[in-house]
Amino acid sequence: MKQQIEINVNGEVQPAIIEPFDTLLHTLRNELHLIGPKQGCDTGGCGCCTVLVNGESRYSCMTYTMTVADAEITTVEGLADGRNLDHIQQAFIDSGAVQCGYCTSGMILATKQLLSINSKPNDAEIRQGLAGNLCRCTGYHKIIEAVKLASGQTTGE
Amino acid sequence: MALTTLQGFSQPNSVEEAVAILQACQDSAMVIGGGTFIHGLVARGLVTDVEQLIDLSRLNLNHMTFDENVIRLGASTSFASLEASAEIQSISLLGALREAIAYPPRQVKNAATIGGGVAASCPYLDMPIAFLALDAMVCATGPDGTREFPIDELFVSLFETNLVPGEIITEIKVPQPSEQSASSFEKMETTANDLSIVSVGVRLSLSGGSQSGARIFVGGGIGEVPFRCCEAEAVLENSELNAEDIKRAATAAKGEIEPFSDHRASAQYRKHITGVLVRRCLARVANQLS
Ligand code: FES
Ligand code: FES
Repeated sequence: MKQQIEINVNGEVQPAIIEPFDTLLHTLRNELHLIGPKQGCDTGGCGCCTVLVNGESRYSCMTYTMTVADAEITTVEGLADGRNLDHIQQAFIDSGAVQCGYCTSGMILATKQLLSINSKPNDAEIRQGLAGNLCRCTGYHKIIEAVKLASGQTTGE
Repeated sequence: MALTTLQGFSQPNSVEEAVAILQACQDSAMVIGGGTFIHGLVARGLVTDVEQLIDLSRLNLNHMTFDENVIRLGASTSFASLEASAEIQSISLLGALREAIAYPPRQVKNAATIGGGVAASCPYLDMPIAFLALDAMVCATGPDGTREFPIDELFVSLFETNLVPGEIITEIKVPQPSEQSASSFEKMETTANDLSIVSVGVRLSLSGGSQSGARIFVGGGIGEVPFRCCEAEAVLENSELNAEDIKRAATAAKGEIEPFSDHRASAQYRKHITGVLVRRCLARVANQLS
């Protein structure tokens, strides 16, 4: 049974028509046309659907939209301020941490969550913090460099 | 894959309301805590006839209280909030719980709840093993009121609990033994996202240099419900926890479990790894208690 709800995504409250079984990933991509969150495994195993729900990272593929209808949701589209990228986005570019890009929005939001609880993570903490996000291209090395750059632990020189 | 049989989604605001809805829906309803487990079941075609989901996240069951004799944890407490709690991090008894919640990725920790982790009655999950090792009690509320029972009674078989229709878990209680106690958890998995091959939870208590009341539980591909290693526990009764006794207990544990073979691991491999993990966990706990 379809129903209309209001959902707060990237600071904007928008109407969305959803089924009770719709996942947040489905609603974001197919209803709100925010295609930053990607569909990979669709069962909570790869992380490329990661979004923030009230500032906490969640797999949007395993979150029913109904459960977050009154929450603040952030997708990668909500990070930049106009043409000014968020510092984590910029660090991923500057570090060359993007190849095909499929994992990138999830990696960036997982990084945002990590840095919100640990502003200067060491290598092991970065690996642990991003353990829920797979990348099939970079070999992770450049991603870890990007997190260090974003957290001000390196200068990118 | 979507659960297209779903007709409705309830978000009750009180335990009473949740019980009433659950009772009215009977078999067509399913309860979700953090909702991290159901998607895997749906994707494997194991949930096909659910018409109503009941989301328990608004019941305010996320309390944590720490009394001298008992630790009370609301069923909706997420792994992330456990991890952020200074008490959970510092009480030596709770090592098994701390180590169990360290495995999942952050995205799961933010959503998964301890109540959901046990209510799923899945021996591959980590919460059952950790709470069994801690001798936890389950508090449940249903149409006939509230009751409390030892957590080992909860697990009847795979995906089947002793909860009666309309009943939900509201709290998990961990008793604090008067003796000096510590616990540990470890598991082996093929990949970070796969189910465990085997998992082990142990707890030891020391008084006057002698151990009593050991708990050793094994989960993973070992049967329909977690397995309690009574023979291994018996080896450690009155033990001083020296390396020799720990080795004997680990050998007893791998001898008494009856694991199965599947695409993840052979039964023989599971036995071997169980011996290794039991030994490691016991050694870690013995070290903390010494
Ligand atoms: S698509 Fe959500 S974790 Fe893979
Ligand atoms: S850049 Fe291709 S999957 Fe990470």
